[in-house]
Amino acid sequence: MSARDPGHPHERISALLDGELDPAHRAEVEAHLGECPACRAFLEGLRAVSRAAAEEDTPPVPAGLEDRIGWRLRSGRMETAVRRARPWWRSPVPLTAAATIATFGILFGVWRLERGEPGVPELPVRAQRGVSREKDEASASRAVPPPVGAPAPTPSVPASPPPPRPERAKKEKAPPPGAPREAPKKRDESRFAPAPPSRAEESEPRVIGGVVGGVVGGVMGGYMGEAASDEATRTAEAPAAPTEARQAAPAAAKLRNVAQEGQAGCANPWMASPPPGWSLRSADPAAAGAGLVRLAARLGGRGDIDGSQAGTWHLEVPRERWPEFAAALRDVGVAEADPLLAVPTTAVCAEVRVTIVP
Amino acid sequence: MLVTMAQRKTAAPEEAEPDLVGRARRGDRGAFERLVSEHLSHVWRVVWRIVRHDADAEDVVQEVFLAAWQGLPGYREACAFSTWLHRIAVTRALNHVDRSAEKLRRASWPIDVPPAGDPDGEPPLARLADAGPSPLEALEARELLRRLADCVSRLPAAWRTVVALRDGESLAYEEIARILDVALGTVRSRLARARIALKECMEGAAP
Repeated sequence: MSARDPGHPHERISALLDGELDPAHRAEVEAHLGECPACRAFLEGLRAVSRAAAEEDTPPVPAGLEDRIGWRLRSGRMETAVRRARPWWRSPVPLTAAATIATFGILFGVWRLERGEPGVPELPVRAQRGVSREKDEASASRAVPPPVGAPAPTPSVPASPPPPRPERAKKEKAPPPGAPREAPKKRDESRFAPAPPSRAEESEPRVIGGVVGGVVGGVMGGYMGEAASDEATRTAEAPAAPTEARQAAPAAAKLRNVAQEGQAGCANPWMASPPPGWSLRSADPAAAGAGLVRLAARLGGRGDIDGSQAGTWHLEVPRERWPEFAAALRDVGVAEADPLLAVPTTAVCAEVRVTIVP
Repeated sequence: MLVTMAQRKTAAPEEAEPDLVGRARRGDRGAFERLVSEHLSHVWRVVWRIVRHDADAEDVVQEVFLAAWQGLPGYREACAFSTWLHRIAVTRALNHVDRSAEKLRRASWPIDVPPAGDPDGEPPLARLADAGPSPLEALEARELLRRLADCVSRLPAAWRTVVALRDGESLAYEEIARILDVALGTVRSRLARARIALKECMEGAAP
């Protein structure tokens, strides 16, 4: 008997109703019911409630929900496939371990060089002269482990083979303009970097350290570079988008997301069902919609009033511009309720239908 | 030409659920879409009964199947696929309700404390011991359902969930316990308290 129903086994009466009592408790409760009119009435009341709850109408499954799930599954699957396609040695754990080992090796090498231990060649005069300890460390760190995406410096690794990642090397040949990966190239490091030693000056530890650092740095740089390439692309291309959005949508500050609803179609052949749209509220729907259309146009897309539904704008941008467009929509107040809405892209286009109501 | 999932389902031959689950775990999206077709109505009903809002329920149901697809490699068949799926559905639905915690607080009341505005009043639970003939019998079915819907909406989400799973889906207590990851006694207790609260609510609403 529960402490919540002293004197009357209400919990067990409820369980009796469901046939969820073991025989001993069932007999006990039935005996009590035979003596207690209040509990008999209680049982009938619970029976009525349970029956009513079972018969409560639930709305039918919304039309198109299954297809919308299918569409989103396809979007989600693309992300999963990309993740699964990554080989084990590109997963974060081995790379982090390799980078840690390389860092310690480099630091150890620098420490030995500074101490001038036997067997370790002295730094070239140009690197030692007039350079403080901090600058020296900074130059060493710049010179040996390449920053994200940068190739390993050749002076310390004259004989090291390039990392076996041709596809990455191909990508690194044409980084996006202005991307962070290019920044180190612009630095004039010649004043601080040690002069390239001759082969005769190189000692074995340094060669090994250089090879390890070069290979690990190459792999790490390639991995990080690839992982960050999309981000770098967005960074390189995105700056104008939020500003555009602010300028394009006069009623931007008043926009807010109220629901996801509606559907939009995309002319892409593999898309079996349309992506969900967004519904916004604005004090000036016409101005806000026109602003969104201008924004889509500036990103190389297009937009127009959807003739089939008042207050709805049909917007489409090239797939590669979707991150900017989504960012701009967020900038005008659209809360991205579902992260998967960030990738409503097909092979060629990203499309959304925005309904704006006053 | 658009091909819907329902059309694909009818075109595909019958296949046992364990086989579909196995294929889906190996990344066969078509197999998973058939699982979606088979379980959509159940998941929809459970989610709707917890969330009780069409658009919100639709969002949650989509989340449920996407989460299931993404989490499928981790499904180890320690429980039935439907149990696993219902667990996701209930969790997502309750999370959704939690995000509206303030609204929920306004709409809910505990059954074992005095009524609001009457601190010295008798808790609804205490009155049950002296309950006489139920006025529920006098209610017409439609009116009963309307009031029931209103009363269910006021229930705490955790109680609403057990009602949805037991009375709505006719699941056994043990199955509900697995879905909610709680003890069997907790299921029994929550269900009894939910039904008592519903009964009280409807009796209070009776003319």
